[in-house]
Amino acid sequence: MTTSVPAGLTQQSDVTGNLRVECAVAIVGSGAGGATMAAELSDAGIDVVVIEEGGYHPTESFTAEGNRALRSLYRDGGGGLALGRPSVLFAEGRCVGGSTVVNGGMSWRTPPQVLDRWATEEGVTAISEQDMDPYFTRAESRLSVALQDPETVGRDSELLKKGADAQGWQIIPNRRNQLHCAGTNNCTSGCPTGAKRSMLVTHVPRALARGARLFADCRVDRITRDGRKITGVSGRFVRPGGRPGPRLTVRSRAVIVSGGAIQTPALLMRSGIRSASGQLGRRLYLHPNAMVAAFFDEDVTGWHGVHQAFQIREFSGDGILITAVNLAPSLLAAGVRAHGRELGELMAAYNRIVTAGCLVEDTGTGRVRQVPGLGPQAFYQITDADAARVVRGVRLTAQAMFAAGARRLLLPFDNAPEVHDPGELEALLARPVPKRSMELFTVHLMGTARMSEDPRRGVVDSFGAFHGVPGLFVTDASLFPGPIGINPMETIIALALRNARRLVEQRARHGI
Amino acid sequence: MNRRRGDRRPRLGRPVRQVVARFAEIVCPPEIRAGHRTADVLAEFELMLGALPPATRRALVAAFLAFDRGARLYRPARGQRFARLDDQVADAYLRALLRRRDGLTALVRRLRGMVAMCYYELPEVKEEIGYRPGPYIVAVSRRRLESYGPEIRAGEAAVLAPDPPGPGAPGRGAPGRGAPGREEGR
Repeated sequence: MTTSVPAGLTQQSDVTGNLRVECAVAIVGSGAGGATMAAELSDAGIDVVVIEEGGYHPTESFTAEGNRALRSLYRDGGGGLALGRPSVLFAEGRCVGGSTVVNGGMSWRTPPQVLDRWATEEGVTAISEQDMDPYFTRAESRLSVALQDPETVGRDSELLKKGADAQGWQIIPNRRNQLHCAGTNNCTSGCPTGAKRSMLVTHVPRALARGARLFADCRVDRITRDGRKITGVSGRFVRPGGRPGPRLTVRSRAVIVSGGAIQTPALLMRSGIRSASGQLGRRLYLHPNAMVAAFFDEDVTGWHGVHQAFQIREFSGDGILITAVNLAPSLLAAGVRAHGRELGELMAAYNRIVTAGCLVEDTGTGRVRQVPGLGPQAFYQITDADAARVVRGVRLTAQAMFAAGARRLLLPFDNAPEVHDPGELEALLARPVPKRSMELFTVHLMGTARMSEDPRRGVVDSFGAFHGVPGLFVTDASLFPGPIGINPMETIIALALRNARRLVEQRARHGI
Repeated sequence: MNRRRGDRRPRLGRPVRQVVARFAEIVCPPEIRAGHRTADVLAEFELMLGALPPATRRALVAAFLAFDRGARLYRPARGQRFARLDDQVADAYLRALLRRRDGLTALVRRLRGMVAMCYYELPEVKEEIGYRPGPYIVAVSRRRLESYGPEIRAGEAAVLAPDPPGPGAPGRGAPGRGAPGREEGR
């Protein structure tokens, strides 16, 4: 396929020798945080260079071949693992546009009580609901955040709603960053229509149109310094198959790190940057998810219709969200506890399955460490309280599915038998569920470079400026002082808009 | 095979290929043999390995070899490697490891998941279970353009338009398509 490459974008195939470039601000990462900062700073006339480890994959290249998407759009084929008992599988985007290219497109404002907590407990300033409202409004406008057109709601979502309604639970339509989403259900492999307003089709082209330069396929190894003064970043282009290519050296007066809650602390650590708070890499939150597979008599064809049309919000006060998320056959097969003939029989019913899951707002934390020979590694041990929440979330999800007419369910616990009615479910869950038996996964990674006005408690200040290192900033979900209990993308973008504004106001101070 | 530019398919050595192929025959539905799909699953598996960091790749290969050799300690295997066991004993060995509830179980489950994932990525397998997203995507994409073409073009053009002044000025989002993103009522 031949597609035009936007002006200002350099890919590894364009580079034959080492490169040196200069700019005012170097931004590491082109996801929700990095691309938004790039667009805003470029809007203000600031000379910006963005360095993205992943490749450039235009909308026209996205197909429903799930494994191919895992290989090209995700870090490590989507198989990240936060080690613990149980370990938690996680996925991070690694491509131009970052995780916004492969997320479900849920766009929710940070709950006001979370903002209040950040203000009162961490002394984060200018973070009240009122303070943030203009930035949320702007983010929603830029990304066309809206409810789905009704013709795109699929049967799996309708069944979730039927179940919630039967239980008398609050269920709301999802707000998504989409411009008349077609309902292809291909969000996690890249939106093939461009309807999902990811950074790939919004803030990246906006930044490039305003003169920003973007280097794709380039892994930043280090942030460079001269004494305390930030001088830029250095990295290497990545050739196909991961072979190292030419070097890229960027000289800049400021550096913004936007690599996400795993890669951001890892880059800072391997650059020898320390936080006096001792919190760099700590307090990793990840909203553990668990999934139930529900078998119906009717044809559901869950891949018809939008990814996640509704969320059950009845239990959000208790830190539990429930939704229906169709999984491609390959991902479902990887997760179910069956093999051989049994796997074949389960998968033969693929079009009659609803996969529904719960997301838990976690109270425990993990951390990111640099492991010699391995690189960044996440560690996370779910707490007893959060494990109990997972069990409750699974129970509620299962109850909703039975109420919608499911005939049998597979639960995300080792060696758990199929359950065929609510009575069997209760009998099974009446016994303790060992934590190690839980199958957990996540796509929400937060914390690890937390905001606080107090340098003893936080890595960065209220606007993402690294305490004690002038010219160094962080803007991504690693800023969050705690979990937010909902999808984090809009919070990241709103914080980036806010932090960019502050940086523009202080540009003379930073020499940019 | 679903390859694209940049995909790298590291070729596994013959001993590991033999183990993975046998593992796939036990983990995947019987149609893997009836449909002569083992080689395609292996090729897909090698492509997925290529997406992993070298250390993880090496660890997975080592895990497969350990799984294979470990069968010798499983009494019904009578000292044979996994790759040489008949179907019934091979399946029993796999089930025994999956029942252990320790770190080994998690590892074996991961290997099983990876191989099953590769099987269900094969186009003919997707077809068999009725997963045909290609034509569906074409149809709904066309419907989208027919229904909302002018709004879509306006929205896409707005990406590059200047912002109104002030951080909170009303923007160019599609009007009337929903209120701000806070929780809504029942």
